[in-house]
Amino acid sequence: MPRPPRPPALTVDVQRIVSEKLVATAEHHERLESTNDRAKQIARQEEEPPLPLLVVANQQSSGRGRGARSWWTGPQSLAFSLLVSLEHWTGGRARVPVTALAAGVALVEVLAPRLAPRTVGLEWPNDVCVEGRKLAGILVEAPTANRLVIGVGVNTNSRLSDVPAELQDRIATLCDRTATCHDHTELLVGWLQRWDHWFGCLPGQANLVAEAADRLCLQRGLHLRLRRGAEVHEGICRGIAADGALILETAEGLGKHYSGTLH
Amino acid sequence: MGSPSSTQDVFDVRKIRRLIELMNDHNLQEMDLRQGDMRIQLRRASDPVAGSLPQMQPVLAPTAPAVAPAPAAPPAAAEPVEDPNTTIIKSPMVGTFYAAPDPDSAPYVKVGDPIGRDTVICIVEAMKVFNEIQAEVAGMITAVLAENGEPVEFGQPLFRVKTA
Repeated sequence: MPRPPRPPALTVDVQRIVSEKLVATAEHHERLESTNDRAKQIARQEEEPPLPLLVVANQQSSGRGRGARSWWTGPQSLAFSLLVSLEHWTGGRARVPVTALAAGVALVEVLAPRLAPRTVGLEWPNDVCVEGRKLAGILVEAPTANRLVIGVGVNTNSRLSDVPAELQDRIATLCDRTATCHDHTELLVGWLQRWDHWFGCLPGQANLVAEAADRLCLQRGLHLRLRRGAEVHEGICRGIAADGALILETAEGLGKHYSGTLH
Repeated sequence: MGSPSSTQDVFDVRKIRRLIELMNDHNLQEMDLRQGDMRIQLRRASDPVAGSLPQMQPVLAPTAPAVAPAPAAPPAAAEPVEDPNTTIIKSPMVGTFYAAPDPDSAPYVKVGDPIGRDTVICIVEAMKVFNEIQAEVAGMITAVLAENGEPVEFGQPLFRVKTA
């Protein structure tokens, strides 16, 4: 990636992102509880601004996973959400989950060159990891049948010393791994360009997204334990199927899984 | 993927009804499922009458002679006779059903709650994509048919709603 012409800026230049037509509308906030919540709020407004819409926050105080698996966002991390329309989609919501993989593949493509020669990849379904640690997380929410909010949090310029002690052995930051700071606008521009490519493949060529995710899957060959409600499935990961499902080989054979918590 | 089922499960009436719904939803002509030495084939009738519902013909394989083949029946006949003012809201996708926005919150809706078309009634999560499901029908919840945190299949009934 080209080096930015000025010292890395943590504040995203949303005017540049709009003027380059990467999104139609952008909001920048100094601090938000959750960029996803803000994007969902906009999606439910009677008068919706032009989409895609980007919500960026310098600080996100309660970025979310579900329940206790909340996402930690450091003070100098990159947090944003993209609100997109699915009105051109046909065939209902069945392929919507693949959007999480599309966001993840785009994120790996942007982060991997910055971290070379380290291997950056995906942990199904929504984490980007390097050297066994989580570098970025994705949380996609569909507030209505034809709107999608893609929330992304990347540990960019926060330091490992900022990370809560109980998470320190599980989290990586871009700054710590590369010993340099990274420009948030450049990262976001890169992600939006790659997202646009992969989102364009959906839903007609969702298999292309799934195949890309499969190539980047870091869990292949690992023994995984997937819990979903009262069900527990244990087996060897055989990658990601053409419809985006996780493939586990258990004593019963190969099985495809669409949801659950991995341990 | 569910846990291992007994071989009789494949002939469960509710599952057959769901298979028929899937065939209708996706306009499939034929479905052929095998589980161990049991088999079920569903095939559309070849001479549909214009305007009528598609006919399904269950075909049982000779390897399962103990199960008597049922007479051909249209999918409408497979549905129990219901109050015409009752609607079933079904899952639009495979995933995990969540009754509440997060584990510490109250359910979106409970039995007796009035709902509008835009009321969010649950989340179905797949691949960490959280789909907030709207009722798309107005009325009152009369039954919650799925368990919080449990897997649901495409087309699986989630709620029963009295619409009038």
